[in-house]
Amino acid sequence: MMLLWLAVGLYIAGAFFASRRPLSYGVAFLASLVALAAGVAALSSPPQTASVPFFDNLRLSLSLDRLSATFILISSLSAVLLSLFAIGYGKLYGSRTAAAFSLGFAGVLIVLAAGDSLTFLSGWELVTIFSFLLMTDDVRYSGAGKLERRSPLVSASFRFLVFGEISSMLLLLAFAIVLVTQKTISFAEIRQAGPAFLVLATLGAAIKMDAVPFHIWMPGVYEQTADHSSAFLSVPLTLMGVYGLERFVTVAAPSPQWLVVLVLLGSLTAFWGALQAAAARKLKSLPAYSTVENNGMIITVIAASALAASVGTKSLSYLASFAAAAAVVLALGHALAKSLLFMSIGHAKESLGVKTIDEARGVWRGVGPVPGIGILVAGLSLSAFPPLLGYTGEWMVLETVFQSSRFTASGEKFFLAVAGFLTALAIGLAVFAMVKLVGYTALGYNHERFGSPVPDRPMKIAQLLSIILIPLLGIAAPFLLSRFGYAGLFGGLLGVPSPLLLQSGSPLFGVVSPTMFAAVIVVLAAIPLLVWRLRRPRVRRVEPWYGGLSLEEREYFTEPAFSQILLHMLRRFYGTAEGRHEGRRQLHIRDRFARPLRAVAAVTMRVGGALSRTLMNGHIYYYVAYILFAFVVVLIIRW
Amino acid sequence: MVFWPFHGIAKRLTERRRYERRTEFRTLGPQFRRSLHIFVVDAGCDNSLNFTIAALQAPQYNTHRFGIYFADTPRHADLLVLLGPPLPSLREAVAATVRQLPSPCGVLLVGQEKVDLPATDTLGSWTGMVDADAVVGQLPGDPAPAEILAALLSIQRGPGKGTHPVGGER
Amino acid sequence: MSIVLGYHKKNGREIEIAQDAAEIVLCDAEAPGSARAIIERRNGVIGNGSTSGDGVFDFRYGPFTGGYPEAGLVHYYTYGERILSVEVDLSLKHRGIEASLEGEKIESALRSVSRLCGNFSAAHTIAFLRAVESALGSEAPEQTRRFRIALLEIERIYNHLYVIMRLATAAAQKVLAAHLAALFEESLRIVELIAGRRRFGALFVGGPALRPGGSPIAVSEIGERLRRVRSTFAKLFERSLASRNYLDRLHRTAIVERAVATTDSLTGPSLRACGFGWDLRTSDPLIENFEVRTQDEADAFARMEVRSQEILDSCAIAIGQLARLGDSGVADAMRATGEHNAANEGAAASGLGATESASGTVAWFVELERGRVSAAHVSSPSVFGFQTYADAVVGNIFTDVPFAIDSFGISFADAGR
Repeated sequence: MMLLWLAVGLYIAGAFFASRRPLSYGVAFLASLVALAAGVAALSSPPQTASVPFFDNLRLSLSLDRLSATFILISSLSAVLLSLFAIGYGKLYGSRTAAAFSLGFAGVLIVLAAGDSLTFLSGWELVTIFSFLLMTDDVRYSGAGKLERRSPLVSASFRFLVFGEISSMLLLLAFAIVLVTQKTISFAEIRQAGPAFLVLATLGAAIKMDAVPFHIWMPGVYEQTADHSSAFLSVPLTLMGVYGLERFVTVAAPSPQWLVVLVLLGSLTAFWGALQAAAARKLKSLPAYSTVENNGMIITVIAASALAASVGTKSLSYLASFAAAAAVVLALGHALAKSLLFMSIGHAKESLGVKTIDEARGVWRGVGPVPGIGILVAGLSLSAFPPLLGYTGEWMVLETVFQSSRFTASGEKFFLAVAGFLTALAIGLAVFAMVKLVGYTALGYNHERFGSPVPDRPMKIAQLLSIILIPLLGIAAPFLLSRFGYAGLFGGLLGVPSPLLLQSGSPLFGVVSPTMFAAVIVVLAAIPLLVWRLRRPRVRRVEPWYGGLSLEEREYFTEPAFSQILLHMLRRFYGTAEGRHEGRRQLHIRDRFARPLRAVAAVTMRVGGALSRTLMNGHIYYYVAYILFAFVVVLIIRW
Repeated sequence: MVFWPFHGIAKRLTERRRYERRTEFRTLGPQFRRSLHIFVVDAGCDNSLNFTIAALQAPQYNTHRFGIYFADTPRHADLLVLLGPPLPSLREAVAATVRQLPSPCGVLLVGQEKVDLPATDTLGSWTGMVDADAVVGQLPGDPAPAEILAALLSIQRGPGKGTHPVGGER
Repeated sequence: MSIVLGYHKKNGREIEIAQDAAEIVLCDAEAPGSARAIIERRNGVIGNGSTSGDGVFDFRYGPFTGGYPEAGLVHYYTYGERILSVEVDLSLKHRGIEASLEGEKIESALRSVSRLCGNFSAAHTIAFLRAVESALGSEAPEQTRRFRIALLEIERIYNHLYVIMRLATAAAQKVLAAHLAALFEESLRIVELIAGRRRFGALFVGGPALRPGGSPIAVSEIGERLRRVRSTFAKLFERSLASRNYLDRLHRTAIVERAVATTDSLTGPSLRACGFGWDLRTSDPLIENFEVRTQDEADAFARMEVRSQEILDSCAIAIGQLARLGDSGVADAMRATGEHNAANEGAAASGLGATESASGTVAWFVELERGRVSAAHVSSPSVFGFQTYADAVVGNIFTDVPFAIDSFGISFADAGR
């Protein structure tokens, strides 16, 4: 608990040094290390709570149980990597970004450790506000340190704010219901909250996780923000949602109908995210949509886990535990891989000064092996390549939804199978997207273009760390999950020693062992490759053969051409249309959720604007004064 | 009507005959005795040699029985067959294609007036496309498919006495 | 209505070579049209231009590929599968044959002409000879003319067989393609039997001496072999129409609009597949009961159908003409092929000659002076064929390309000249 306080304090200190950006990020790095230590310590110790009296008999509290510790660990791990990366990379962006970055992580820690709904909500609001500040920072420095102003995408950022506030409102309502019915704000004391709470709270969390259709702010914002900020929006911000979702389904009374809806929402989100990722052309909208896909899968398994737990038979209890473990593995795998992906893409993007996948061809050759391998490893993990973490996670998702037959109600059986269908499609499309990203950027041909240098030592160290961590944690998944409290899922079978075999069902349904898989890869592929390389084979290098002439850059198979067949086959989903403008031809697609949701956001903003002009047309300081005055009055009355 | 495959088998289109060669060809090596992959490059011919090569792939010759296959890229080929007369506009492209051949490899020059090989290093209008020591032989003029096949068999199996002992093989 | 095949500048005046149904005519050049633009660019890049756009790239096909036997260069502009525009580069095989003929004697000029395009060598050589004869005001004897018809028809047979074989191969009709390849080889052997080489052009350059031993040709043997080709092909054609896979690949592939066909100066079987009954052979009095084969769909399938029916017709015509000649007539005609008397020494003259080649009209315009060629212009069908191909394949996808390009029966050697 002390470590947690220390971490929050260090984060705030980091924000104070914001004007000296490397120092600020350095302090944030220290804070993240401390937070990581706090997570590890809390994981192996009994739950602890620290509280202060607040109002009436309500107490504000921070509490660390296994769930909190797990998520603090995951989010701090990405915080460690991102802040280390930002020590170098942050020099390219303004000090407001530095401050908001640190404070944002402090907010996330508060949310993850919150023992009551008020603390949770305050943290939630703080994170939303700091995220908004991250997005709208308009300061940017060139590689030579020259100040450049850029125009942030304010409308998209406001859309984020609108959805963020909708989410907060839903949570506020949910907590208010609990406060009225159960007279408590402490998570530990909430017992079997009713379906209204479950619906409102889980919806609030799902919105924070960019569930379809609340994802539409992402691509626009991601393109504009610095890459460590994008990673912040993609990883800790959505982890908060995952944590919230897990927390709410554990404190609420299960409502099978709503959980089925959540399963479907999750799988639809996964499918839609993957669908858009497969068609994405911008370097950063692809990972953005991939985040949507991952979060969709997490929503699916958490809801499926709660659904299975609510029935309570032996085999379904096992499934519930398996699905909960799937959520953790997915969250951890995604946190690491997406942090790495954003770091490497950011490195490549800044070095090459480009925006689209097509322009960033040949990162390995043109920028360097570190960002190249970074994109490769992250992409492989996100496209479920064994034995990386993403593989285990996605296998667990599929195994969960494919066990729909274990449910007794026919509706649950059917809808879980539908979710399985959508999730499987999503995973397939995600592979397509990642093959595209990795194939073009990391492994593509650079046409003899080379990137300009960027301040890269801490950036490289952070990427290398992630590159090592992703396979390592993937191989160590059995031990990792046992630490998180899922030791019961492992066994041994068919010569695979216990506890290396992950079993998806009881009675047995499917098994996988990433550790053994890694061993097999090492024996059959890595060692022979090494031996072959050590024998120094004689290799004659010739230019590639393209029909006798050398390949010109304009003759290269472009990235949009790679996805065109998909855009054509799935044109009903994409709304594919050919655009002709002054003899230029290209394919256009649109996110079909974008238009209605943008309309909703626009109406909200217009109403807000009208209200601020009519009702709240005073100076901002007056309102601060009103709030203080109201606060004091309430306190005096209660005294 | 007879079922397609039977219709074909009943025709007995493949010819059993001796393929006589008129000149000597260098063999590529013993490893190609049973398998020779060739890539045909049109270095500027007037299309009649392309027709001849197409005819060489007809069932009458059935090159596959000798292990002679037509590759789709020079990287899969052991022997490059250049169809002339060569045009200057294609010189660079032909040279780039010759460089793609995995060693050991050879080049067979087809069509075009005879050049002295291997005595001189001048290759006439082939100069700049291929090195003289890579050339395993040449078939000047308008060779018929049977002559090309005889040359390929000679390159594949080494020198024989007068004719090639391939009669009777199917 | 007429189709413009070429322009020739003579004494500062421009003459237009045009085709009207079955007639080739010379007339004064008209205002610039699309055909003129094609003819002016035929030494370089023709087609319908490049395209740019987000993700649009130039898919270069050639010069050497596993899929297309000839060295050629085609640029397909696309953003994936759909072809947006096509540029065909004819410069790689441009040999400047027309210019090289200047100052040449007829015999040596014929050598170049016969090597312009190996598979149309009879069509080019005979068209050139007809132009020379027209310039000299002479007419070849009937025997020679009948022999030429037979040669042109046999050349048509093997070219059409080649096209259909290529289409069957591209559609993975292995059995059909193998049978067609055997038939194709057989038709080339008939050529070799007559000319001693696998190209008829050699006959006009070297004369009958090329035949081993100079043995006389047995008309009955050739007739019998052609009859076998005809009956075998008739069966294969009938069978091929039973394969849905084959028909699906050809059906509605590379459709040529009627208007495009005329503005692009398309001729030959590709034009007849658009519903135009244009064929130079209808105006030849020596071919009796000639029936023009047409189709209306104008797609690759229609072109294949027209060619298939023409193979059957051509066999019959060639057999008929050779039978009319008899063994002695053929021997006489053979002897005459190697002799070219440029009797009219001195006076300048010009003439136009044309043949219906396997893929369209081949027209030669020749100016003679003192027994030598002083200027020549050739209109070869592949130039217009490539242009029409480029226009027809736009909107199709890459996998349609072999069916589209092979169905026109065009070659870079013919277009490059």
